[in-house]
Amino acid sequence: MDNIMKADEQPFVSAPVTFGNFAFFARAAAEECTQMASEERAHENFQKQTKLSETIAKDILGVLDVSDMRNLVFNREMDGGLERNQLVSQSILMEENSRRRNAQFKSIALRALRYDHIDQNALARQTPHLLVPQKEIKDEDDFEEDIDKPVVDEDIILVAHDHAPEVQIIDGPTQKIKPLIPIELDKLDKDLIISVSVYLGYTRQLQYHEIRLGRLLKVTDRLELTGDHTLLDLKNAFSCPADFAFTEDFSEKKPTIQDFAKNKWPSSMFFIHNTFFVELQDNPEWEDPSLTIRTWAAKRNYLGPMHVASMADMKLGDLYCRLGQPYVYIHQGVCEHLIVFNDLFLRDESHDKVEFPRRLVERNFRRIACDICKEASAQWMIVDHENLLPNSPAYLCSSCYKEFCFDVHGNKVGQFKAVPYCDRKDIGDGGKFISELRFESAQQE
Amino acid sequence: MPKGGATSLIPVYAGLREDLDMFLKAFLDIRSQRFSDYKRLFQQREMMLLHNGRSDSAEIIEFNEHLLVSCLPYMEEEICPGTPRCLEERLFGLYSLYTFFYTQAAGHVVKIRIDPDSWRNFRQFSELLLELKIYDAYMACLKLCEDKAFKYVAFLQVFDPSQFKRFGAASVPKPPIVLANVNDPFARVKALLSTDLFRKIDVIHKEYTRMKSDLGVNLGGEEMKNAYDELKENLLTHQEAYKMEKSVIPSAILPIITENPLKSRTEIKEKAYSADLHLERSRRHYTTDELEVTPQKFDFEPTKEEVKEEMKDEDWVTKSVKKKTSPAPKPEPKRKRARAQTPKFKLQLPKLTGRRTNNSIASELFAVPSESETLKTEATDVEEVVEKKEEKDTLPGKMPKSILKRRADDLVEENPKYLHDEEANSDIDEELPKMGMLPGKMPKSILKRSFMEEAVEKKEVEEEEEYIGGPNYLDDLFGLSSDDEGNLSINSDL
Repeated sequence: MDNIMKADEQPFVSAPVTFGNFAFFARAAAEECTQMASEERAHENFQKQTKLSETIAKDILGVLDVSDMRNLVFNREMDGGLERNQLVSQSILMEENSRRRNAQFKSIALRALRYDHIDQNALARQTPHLLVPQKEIKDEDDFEEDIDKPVVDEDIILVAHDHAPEVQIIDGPTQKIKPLIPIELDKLDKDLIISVSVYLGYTRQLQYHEIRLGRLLKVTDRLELTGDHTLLDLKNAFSCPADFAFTEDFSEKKPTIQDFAKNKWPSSMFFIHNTFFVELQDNPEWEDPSLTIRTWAAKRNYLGPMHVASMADMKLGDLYCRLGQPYVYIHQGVCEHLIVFNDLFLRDESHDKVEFPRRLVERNFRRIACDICKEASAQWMIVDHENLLPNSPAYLCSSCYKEFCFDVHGNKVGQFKAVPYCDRKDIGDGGKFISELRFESAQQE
Repeated sequence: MPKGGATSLIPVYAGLREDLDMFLKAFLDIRSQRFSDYKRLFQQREMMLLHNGRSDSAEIIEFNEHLLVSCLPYMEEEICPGTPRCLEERLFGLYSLYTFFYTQAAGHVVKIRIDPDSWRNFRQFSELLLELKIYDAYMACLKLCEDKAFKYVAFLQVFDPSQFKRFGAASVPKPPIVLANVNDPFARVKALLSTDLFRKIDVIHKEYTRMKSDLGVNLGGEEMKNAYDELKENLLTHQEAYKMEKSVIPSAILPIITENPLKSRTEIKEKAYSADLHLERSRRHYTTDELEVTPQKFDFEPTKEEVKEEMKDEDWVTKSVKKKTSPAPKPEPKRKRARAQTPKFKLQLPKLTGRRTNNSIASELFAVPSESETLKTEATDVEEVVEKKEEKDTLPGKMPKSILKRRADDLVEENPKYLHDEEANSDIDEELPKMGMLPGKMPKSILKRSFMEEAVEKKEVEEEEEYIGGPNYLDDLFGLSSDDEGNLSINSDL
C-alpha cells in the first residue's frame, strides 16, 4: 500500500520505523547521557572528568551564565522600532504581524500552528534549570543548613538509576568499549510515547472538491499513548458520534445502551501498513470485517499481501509503520477515520505525573441548540413530523420534546419519529457521559 | 487554501536559518573558541531579538523547538561526506544551543529534540572537547545533561499531514537587494560575482579539481572551466573594452530591421488598405475625420507702445528714470596681455546697468563670443531703430527679440562706424533668417537690426552715472582683453 500511496515521495511522511527499535536506541542514548553526567551537578561531573579544582569549575560556570541576557521585551508584539535589527526572521515576522491585525487572518494563522489548542503545560516546563543554581541558594541565609541539598523543582521528579549495567556499547570511531548501560527491555514499551492524531470520520465517499480543499480534513483528537498500550486502547481512547447513533424509532419506547449502534454493530478494524487489526469478539455471529477487502485485494497482485491480526494483541510499541502516513480506522461498516502517528519520543521526567492515554486537544464543536427554546442542547432528533416543526429533521431538547410531542398523559401527539441525538461534545471520553449518565438514568426512571 | 497546498501564511521558522548563518559568519570572523567571545558577539548582534514579536504560547513553543533544532546541524562532524567541519563552527553550534536553551521565556521552556544520530554526534563532540581541553564548551555539554535538556525523538521533525503546507514564496526570504550603480554597465555582473552561488561554484570547482588530481583522473586532458574565474576574466576584458569605447556615444536611434526590407511601399499600402478595419467600441472615434487645426501664426506688427513695453521688461531701467548727467570720463587704455596662441574673438560686451527690475542675473553676462566679423552696425536714432524693428515682420516669431539682441551683442564690435557704412550694408539680404543656426552664423539682417538697437542702448547707458566700473571691467572678470582695434581675446591662463 505504501507504493500505491507513494509514501516515499511525500514530504510529510517519514521512512518506515520499527517503534521497538527506536525505543531501544532512544533509551540507550538516554542512559549514555546519564552516564556522562552521573553526578547531579555539572561542576561535579566536570571535576570528576578533568580533575580540576572546584573553584575553576565554578568560575567556568560563571562564564557560562546567560541569565543576564534575558530579553526585556518578551512575548510582546513589536511593530516598528526594529530599524537597528537586521534579523531576517524579524523583518518577516513584522510583515506577518501587520497582516495579523486583521482578526480573521490572525485566527487562521494561529489555528495553523502545530500546538494550537494544546495546554502549554503539557508541552513545556517553567524553567530551563532542572535544579536551582547553587549561587541562588547561597544568597539565602535561612537555608544555610540545607546548602548541600539542592532544591528540586516540584514539577519534576528525578528518577534514580540504581541497577547495574547490562548492555555493552562500543563507540564506533574510537572503538572504545563504553561501560555497560542498563536497558530494561521489559520497560521499553512503557518508556515509548506515541503521539497519534485522529481525524473526523465520514460515512460516505467524499467528492473531489471536498478532498481538494482539505477543509474536511479535521483533527478531532490528539492523543499520546505509551508503547505498552494496544490498538484496542487506542480505539477506546476516542469516540465517534456514529457509534452512538440510533436506527429505530424511539418515540414510543425508551432507548437503552444496547440500542447504540456500537453495540449493534461492534465490528471495527485498523488498517496499518499491510495488516488489518480487527477486534475479536466472543459473539458467534461475529464476522471478520476485513474479509471482503482482503478477498478483493487478493485478486489484484499490485496491492501486495495483506494480513489480519487482533488489535487487542498488538502493542503500539511493536508497530512497524511510517510517521505521518494516514492509516485508517473503520467502524460501523462505513465510517472511516484517518489515523496518523505523528511523533515518537522517549518518556522522561516530565511525564511522571501523567496518565496515559492522554488527550492533548479537545476540539470545540458547535453544539446544536433546540429549535424551540434555542437554549438547551438538542437531545432528540424528530423526523417525519406532521408539518408542525419548521425543519425536518428537527432538533429538540428533552423538555421541549416532552412538551411539544406528548400530552399531559404522556401520549404521543401527532405522527413522528424520534431518535435520541448525541452531541459530539457530549461524547467526549469514549461516550461515558452518555452511556453512564444519560441512558442509565433514563432506564432507572 | 487547500490542505498541503500553497498558503499565504509563513512558517514559524521563516528567516531563522539565514540569521544563524549570518551569526555564524560573524563568529568565524572573530576566530575565537571562547564562550565569552561568543556571548559578547551575541549581545552585540542582539540575537535575543529573535524571540520578539510572538505573543501566542503555541507559537512561542513551536518557534523555540525550531530554534533549538536549527542549531544541531552546525555541530555535525562533516558538512558533507568527505568534508570535515571546522571546530569553530561546531563550537558555534554548541554555544548557540546552550544559549538559546537557557534564554527561553519562562513557562515556555521546551526540550531539545534530538534523535539517536544527533545524540551520538553530541556525545562524541563532548569527548573531543575534553581531549582538546576546551573546558567552557565541555562544561556547557555537562550543564545541558544536568538539566535534562534533551528529548529523544525518532525524527527531528514532526510528521503531520494536517499541518503540512507548501509555503511558497513566503517561506523563502526575499533575496538581498543588490545595490547596483546604474551608471556602471557592469554593476549587475559584479554583483553576480559576489553572490554566494558563484562563490560556491568556485569552491566546488576547486574541490573537484583537487579530488581529481588526488585520484589521478585525467579525462582526455581537458580541464573543466571554473565558471567564477571565467566570469571574472570576461568582466575585466569587457570593462577594458568599454573604457576604450567610452567616448563614442552610440546613437539613440537603432536601425529598424524589417523582415522584408525589399518590400515596396505599394505593397505595404495595398496590404494596409485591403484589411478590414475593426475597432473596439472605445476607439470608434478614430474613424471620424481628423480635426483641421489651423496653425498659429505669431507674426504681428508691433507698435511703438509694444516696443516700449518690451524694453521695460529688460534688465535696464527706462529712459525716464535714468538721470541725465555728465558723461563718464573715458577709461584708461587697457594694458595688453600675452595672447600669442589665443584666438581673437570679437566680443561686444554689454554694459551693465546699475539697477535691475528683477533679481535675475543680467542676461548680458552670458554673452557668447563669436568668430565672425560681420557687420557692425550702430543705430544713431531711436526712430531708425523702430523702423528697423518694423521690418522684423519676416523674422521668425519663435525667437524673442531680446535673445536676438544679445546674440548680436556678442557678435558685433563696439564700433559704430559700420552702422553707417553703406558698403558694408549693401550686401545685406532682407531674407528670412534660417532657424537652428549656431551663434556666429546669424544672417546679416538680424545682426544689423540688433546692432542698431544695441547702439541706441549703448548711448543711453553711457549717459547714466550709476555705472559700475567701466566698460572694460568685465575684461578682468572674464579674463578678456582687447587690443587697440577693440578686438577682444580670452586670456588662456584663466
